[in-house]
Amino acid sequence: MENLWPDFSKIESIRVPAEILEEQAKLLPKITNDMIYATVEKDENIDPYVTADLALLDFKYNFYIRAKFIESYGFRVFKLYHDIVIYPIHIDLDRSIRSELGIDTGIIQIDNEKEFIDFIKEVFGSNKIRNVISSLISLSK
Amino acid sequence: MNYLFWNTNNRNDINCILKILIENLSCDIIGLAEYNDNISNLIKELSEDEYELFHVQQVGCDRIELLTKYPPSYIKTYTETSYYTIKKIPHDTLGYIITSFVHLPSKLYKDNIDKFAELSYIKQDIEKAEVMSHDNKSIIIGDFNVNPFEEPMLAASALHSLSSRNVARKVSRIVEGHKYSMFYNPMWNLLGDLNGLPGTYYYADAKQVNYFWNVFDQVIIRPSLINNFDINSLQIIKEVGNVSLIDENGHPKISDHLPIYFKIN
Repeated sequence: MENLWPDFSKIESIRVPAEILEEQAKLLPKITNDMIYATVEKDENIDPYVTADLALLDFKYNFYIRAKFIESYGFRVFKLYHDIVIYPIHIDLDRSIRSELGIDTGIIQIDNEKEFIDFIKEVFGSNKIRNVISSLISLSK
Repeated sequence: MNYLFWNTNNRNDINCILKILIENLSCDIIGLAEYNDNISNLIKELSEDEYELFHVQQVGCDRIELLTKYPPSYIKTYTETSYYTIKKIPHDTLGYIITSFVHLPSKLYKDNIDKFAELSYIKQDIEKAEVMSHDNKSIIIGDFNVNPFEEPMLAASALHSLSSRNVARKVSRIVEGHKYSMFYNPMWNLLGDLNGLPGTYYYADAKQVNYFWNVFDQVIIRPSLINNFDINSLQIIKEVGNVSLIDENGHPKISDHLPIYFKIN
């Protein structure tokens, strides 16, 4: 019988958001004298009040800023949701950062990898993140 | 131990009243929202009366200031967001209590989804902290900006904080196949004006439904602490010493919120 499948050999591979965040997380110790790091943690909780649609998505992660010398501390920057097809992804961003960046929607929808990279660059450059990291550095000394 | 929480409405001259409150009520743990005075001066003035408190430096949650009788090195912080902080604070007789402080904003975005979401996240994060510390002695204190009877406080997947000790002692229940832990909310006992002021925040609006008095400032506790919570100590403070916190109409006048106070033995 004829092979009914299309040619997958030329399909562009997509980097999953967690992978992009993990790459960025690895850079943080290098620029903070090994005092601060970030973690990308899978979240198994049910969030029915986010919206019914998001609660059904298969992949959910929390992105935290942590300090090597302050055991158990974690500042949650955002929750990230996506389905098996990855994009669009949905982000529930820390409220102060959301306010600082002038975002007035609740859940932020991001449609592609470039948009996601631009978004996290903006978040990482926010005053809130700077203040959290500098506070953690001074508390770690 | 004695706990105080007050949203001080960004008053930059609140230290004198705070000092009277703290000393008269022998407060051990003090959470402050919208604090805009000089906390170092407050600590110094208390110290001059031989009342020693420490300021716990905030990192991610800058909406809450925390003073405790324990040095900051005794206090562990778990998860923080801009709106809440989860800490493990010593207790004189119970070892430690996972003590979370919350200050939700009064106006959130399009609807109540943000409040639901934030309160369900804090409960999830508290449960994580309870697992990490092998202990479920937890309380949440703060300005929730919702009343005890509103859905974000009641919903199983949000705070699930209930009015009855007997019901809360069930510890958890299953809803749609998921198990949800419970809190007990003693603030239900302070609704209405039978035994004092009917709320912590007064707001009059020309809408069909207006509560006027709201109990936005609350403490909720895990069932494991019900026997230690001194229900008779729980109060909305309207005066301390000869300082009145309310005006001639009985409305808050120093701040737009009134403080809450309670003891855990």
